[in-house]
Amino acid sequence: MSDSAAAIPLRALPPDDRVLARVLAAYVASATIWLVFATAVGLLVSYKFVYPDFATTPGLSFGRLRAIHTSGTFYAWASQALIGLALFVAARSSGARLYSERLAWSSLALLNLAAVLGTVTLDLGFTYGQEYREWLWWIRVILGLGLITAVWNMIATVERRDGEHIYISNWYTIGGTLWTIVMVLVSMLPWYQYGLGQVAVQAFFMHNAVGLWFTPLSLGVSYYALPKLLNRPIYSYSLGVFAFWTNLIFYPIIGAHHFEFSPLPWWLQTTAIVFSVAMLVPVLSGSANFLLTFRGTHEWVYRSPAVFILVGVYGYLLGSAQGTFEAFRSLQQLWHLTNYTVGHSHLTMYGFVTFAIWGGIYALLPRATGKYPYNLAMGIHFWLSAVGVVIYVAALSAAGTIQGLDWFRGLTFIQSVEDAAPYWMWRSVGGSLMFAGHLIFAFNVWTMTYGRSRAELAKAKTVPA
Amino acid sequence: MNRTFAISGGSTLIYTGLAVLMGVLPGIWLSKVPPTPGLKPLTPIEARGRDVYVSEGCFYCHTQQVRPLSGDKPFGRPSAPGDYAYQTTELLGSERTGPDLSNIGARQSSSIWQYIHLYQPRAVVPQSIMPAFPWLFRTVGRLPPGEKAVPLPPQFARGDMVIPSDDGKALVAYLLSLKQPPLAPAQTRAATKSSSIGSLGFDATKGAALFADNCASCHGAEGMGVPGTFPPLAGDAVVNDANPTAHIGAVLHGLSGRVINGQSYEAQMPGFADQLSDQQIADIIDHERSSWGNRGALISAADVVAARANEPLQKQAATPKEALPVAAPASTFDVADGSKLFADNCGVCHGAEGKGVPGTFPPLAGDPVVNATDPAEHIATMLRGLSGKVIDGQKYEVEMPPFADRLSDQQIADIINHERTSWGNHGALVTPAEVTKLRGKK
Repeated sequence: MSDSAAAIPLRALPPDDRVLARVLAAYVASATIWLVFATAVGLLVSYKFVYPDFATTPGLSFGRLRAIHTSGTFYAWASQALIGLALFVAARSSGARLYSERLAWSSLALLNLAAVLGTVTLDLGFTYGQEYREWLWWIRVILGLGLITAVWNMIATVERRDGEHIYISNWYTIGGTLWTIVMVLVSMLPWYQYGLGQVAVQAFFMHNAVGLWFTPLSLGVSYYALPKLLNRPIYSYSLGVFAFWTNLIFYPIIGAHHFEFSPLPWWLQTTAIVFSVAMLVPVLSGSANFLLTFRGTHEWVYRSPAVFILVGVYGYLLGSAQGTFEAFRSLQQLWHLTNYTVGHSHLTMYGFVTFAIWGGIYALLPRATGKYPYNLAMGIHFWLSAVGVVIYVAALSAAGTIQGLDWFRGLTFIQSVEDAAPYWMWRSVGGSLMFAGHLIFAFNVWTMTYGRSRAELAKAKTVPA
Repeated sequence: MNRTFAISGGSTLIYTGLAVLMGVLPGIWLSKVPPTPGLKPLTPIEARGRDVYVSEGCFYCHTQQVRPLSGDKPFGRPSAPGDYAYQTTELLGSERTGPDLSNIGARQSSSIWQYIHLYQPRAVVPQSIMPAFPWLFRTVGRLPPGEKAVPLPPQFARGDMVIPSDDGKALVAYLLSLKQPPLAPAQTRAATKSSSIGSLGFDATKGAALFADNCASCHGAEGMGVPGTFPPLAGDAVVNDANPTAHIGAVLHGLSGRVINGQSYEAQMPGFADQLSDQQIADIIDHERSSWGNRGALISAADVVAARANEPLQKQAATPKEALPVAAPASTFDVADGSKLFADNCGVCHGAEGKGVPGTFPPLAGDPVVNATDPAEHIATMLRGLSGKVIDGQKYEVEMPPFADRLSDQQIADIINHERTSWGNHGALVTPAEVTKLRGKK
C-alpha cells in the first residue's frame, strides 16, 4: 500500500489547471496581506513594552491590539494560506480538478469578511474576552461557514479521484478542518460556560485551536510539498497514518495544562499532563518521518524552498517537546504565566506553522502559476525570519525564566518587570527582523503571482535529477 | 466513498466524543460550582466596570488566579473554585506581566490611587510599563457639582483638572470589589497566627502547597474526597482528634481497606514516610487540621519524629490557643523583614526611597512624625490610616488605608523601624508591645 500511495504526488506532469492556479494565488495573496498587517500590529505592540506611553489612544492600545495580532495571524494569515494550499493539494494529489471554483471564492470571501469584521470590532473594544476566541460569536459563525464551505470543496475534490486511495495529506487537511468546525461550535455554545465551567471550555479550546487546526493542516501540506521538492516519496506512509490517529486521540485531552495550579479539578490537570507526555508519540513519529525523508539531501536542500520545511519540522519537534516539558508541574511552577509561554507560542506558531506554510507556498505556488521567485529574495526572507525568530524566542525564554525566578525568590513584583525589560527590547529587535522578512516574502508572492518574474530558468536548475 | 467516509467521518466522530468528554462535560459540571461563602455578586456599576476590564484587555497582563505556590503569596490566599461563581467571561488569564488582581480591592483599597494609576501608571509606579488609560477620564475647566478632581502629581496634570468618566468610575468600582472572601473561619485564624506560632513551625501556605502536591489529587483541594473512593478529610474524626497519633500514622504508613462512617474504602493510600520530611508531614497535617472547618490540634515536626520511632506521643499537641503565648518575644528588629514589608505595603505610594509623590503622597524621608521620639502618632497612623492631613503646608487628599487588620504587631513594628532608620531618618525604634498597647486604645 505504502509504495503506490506515496507515489501519487510524484506525477511528473501536473495537469494545466488555470482555475486551481487562480484560486491558490488569490488565497496566498490575501493571506500575505494579513500576515503583513497582523505582524505590523505585533511589532507595534512589542514596542509598547519598551515605550509604554507611545500611541496612547483607545484604538492603538495594547489591550485591543494584542487580540488583533493573535486572531489576525491565526484566523486570517495562517488559516487562509493553509486552506488555499489544502485545496490545491486536494486537487493535485487526487489528479483531479477542483470541485467548485465558486465555492472556493465563497470560502475566501467568508474568511476575509470574518477577519475584517473581527479586526474592526476588536479595535472598537467589542470582544468575547477569551484568548484566541475574542471575535464576537456571530463573527465566529462567519468563520465557521468559511471552514464548512472549504471542507466541502476539499472532500468533493478528493471524491473525484480515480483510485480508491486517498493521499495522506488529505487525511490531515480534511480531518483538521472538520475537527475545527466541531471545536468552533463547542466553544461558541453558551450553556456550559459559566464561571469555572468556562475555564474548562477555554482550557479545551485554547490548545485545540492550535493542535487540531494549524498542526494537522501544516503537516498535511508538508506531506505533499516535501516529496514534490525532494522528488522522492515520504519516508514512511504508515508512520504518517500512525501520527494522524495518535495526534487526534491525545491532543484534545491536554488543554487543562494551560491552567495548572488553578482551581480546575486537580485530576483534570493531571490527566492533561499525562497526555502531554503522550503527545511525544505523534510528535516524534511525525518529525522523524520528515527528517528521514530529508536524509542525504543536505548538499542542495539549503538552496531550495525545502529548507523552510526543514526549519518547520525542527520548530515542530522543538516546540512540541518543549510543550511536553512545560506541562510538568515542577517546570510549570517556574514558567507558567511568564513570558516563557509567549516564546513557546512563537516557536510553534512561527517556527513551525509559519515556516511550513512558507515551504508549501514556495514549493507549490510556482508549480501552479509557472512563475518562480528570485532565489536571492527567498534567501533574504529565510534568513531574516529565521534569525529573527531565534532572537525572539531566546529573549522571551530568558525573560520568562527570570520573571519566574524573581517571583519564586519572593522579590517585589515590580522587580520582575524591571528585570525582564532588557529582554523585551531584544524581543522587539527579533520582531523587527521577522517583519522585514515578511515584506520580502510579500515581494516574492508578488513575483510568483501577479507580477513578472524572470527567475524561472534559474530555479529549474536547483531541482536535482 | 467508503474510505473518505471512514477517515473524515470516523475521525470527526472520535473528535466529537473527546470534545464532549474534555470540553462540554467538565463545562456543565463546573458551571454549577456554588459560590464561596461570603462572595458577593457584582452590583450594576461593578458589572459595568467588569465589561470595561474585558474590552480594554486588562486580562492579557493581569491574572485572577492565585496559585498555591510561594511566589503567589503576596496576591492573596490560593483561589478556590467557588471564587469564580459570578465570573462569566472568566478572567483567570494566561500571563502575568502585571500583578495578580484576585484580591486587589483588599490589597490596594484607595480609589484615588487607582484613579491616578489608571490615568498614568508611571505617576505612582515609575518603573511600570502598564498602558495609560486617559480615555477613561475627562479634562474639565471647572469641577461639576459632586465631582472630585483626581489629585495628579503636578508634572502629569498639565494644569487641567481631570475627573474620571463613568467608565473609569465603573472600572475602579469593579477593581475595589475584587476581594477574596476568607475560605473558612478556622483557616484564616490559622493563617494569621502562622507568624506567631513559629515554635510549632506551621506555615499555612507551605502546608497548602504540600497538600496540593501530595494529597489533593485524591482527597480533593477542598478535602471533600471522592464519594465511595477516597474519604473526605473535612469533618473526619481522625483529622479532628486531639490525639494526632492515628493521623500521623496514616500519612507515614498509608492505609487501605478502612471503613469510615460506614463506608468501606478499597483504594490504597500510599505511605509518605520515605518521600516527605518530618517538617513537611507536620505542615500537611496542620493544613488538614486547620482547613475546611476542621479544628484538630496542631502538631510539630517533633511529633512526627516520635511517631516514626513508634513512641507514644509525649505531649498531646498543644491546641492553637495554648500555643499562642509562645510568640511575642522581646523586640528584635529584623532589617530585612522591615524593608520587605515596607516594599509590599507602603512603597507603592510612599516610594521605595520614601520620597512619596509630590502633592499626592507625602514623603517619609525627613518627616517630623517619622523622626519624633514619641512614636505614638506614627504607630497610630499605621494602625488607623490617615486622610486630608496638611504636612509642610501641603494638603494631601489621598486616603491612607489602615493596617491594623492586615498586619501583626511585629510586622507593623518592623515597618516603622525600617522607616525610622532609612533615608536619613533618625526616629527612636519601637517594639511590638508598644503597637499592642496602641491597638487597644481607641
